[in-house]
Amino acid sequence: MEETTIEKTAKNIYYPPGGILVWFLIVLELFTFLGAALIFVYYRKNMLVEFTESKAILNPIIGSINTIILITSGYFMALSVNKLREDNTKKSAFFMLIGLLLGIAFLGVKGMEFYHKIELGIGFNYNTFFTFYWLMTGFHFVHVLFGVGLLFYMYLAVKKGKYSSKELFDVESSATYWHMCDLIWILIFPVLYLI
Amino acid sequence: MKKEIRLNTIVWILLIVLICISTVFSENGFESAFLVITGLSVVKFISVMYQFVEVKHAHIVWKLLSILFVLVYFIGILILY
Repeated sequence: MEETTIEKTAKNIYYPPGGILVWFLIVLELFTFLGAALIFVYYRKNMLVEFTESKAILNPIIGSINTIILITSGYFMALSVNKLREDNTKKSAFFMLIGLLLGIAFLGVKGMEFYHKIELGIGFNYNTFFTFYWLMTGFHFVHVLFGVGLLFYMYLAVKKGKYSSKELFDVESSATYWHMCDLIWILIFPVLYLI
Repeated sequence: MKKEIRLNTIVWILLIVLICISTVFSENGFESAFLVITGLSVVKFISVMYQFVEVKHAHIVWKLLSILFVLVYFIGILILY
């Protein structure tokens, strides 16, 4: 009997969930954002007044709502993979579509936030806080944008029945990439908006 | 698989509750709020990593790497804050 992907991943160090290639990307990205977050906290300590005043411009409630949207999107993506393992492609595609739409909603809210900042004249060179803000949230935005494209492609493929419980590696890799966007946001959101 | 879906749902609800608690702590401005907020971020990170990314099924090295990574984040913020 053929091993399931979960059985493979438990035994083999070279087979993390979603595959080793996407994990190279995850490790690289997570360490990059970790470095950025820690440097941000270091600068905050040395420029406390500027950082406190600048943080007050951000809206943590909107940020939290957007966090819930992104986490919920990740939840539906996880459900989609679970349903595909049951060979329920219809429900898998449906859950993926919800995840995709929530991803677009996240981009919409973030886009409005960016637009509002630009309208106020708060650009990349406004001050040190906002240089970090634009770098971290901007790069994350690009990652989510790419993820939305990936999910859209996967949604169409799952809907057409290209993937099944025996052939779902691409879907698992895409889901892992999508969760990476959640993980990055979990690291940078509290640093920028909450503390 | 039903058990897995149920677990996903429990973790999702937990994550939403933790996000709301973090926001409340941030808004109320307690002195040690950063500690609670950062600690909750660690819990959120591990929850997503283990349940949604399914690292709980992965080889021990990936499990340890995930925990080590988030500990560096937590300790780093505690030292630099």
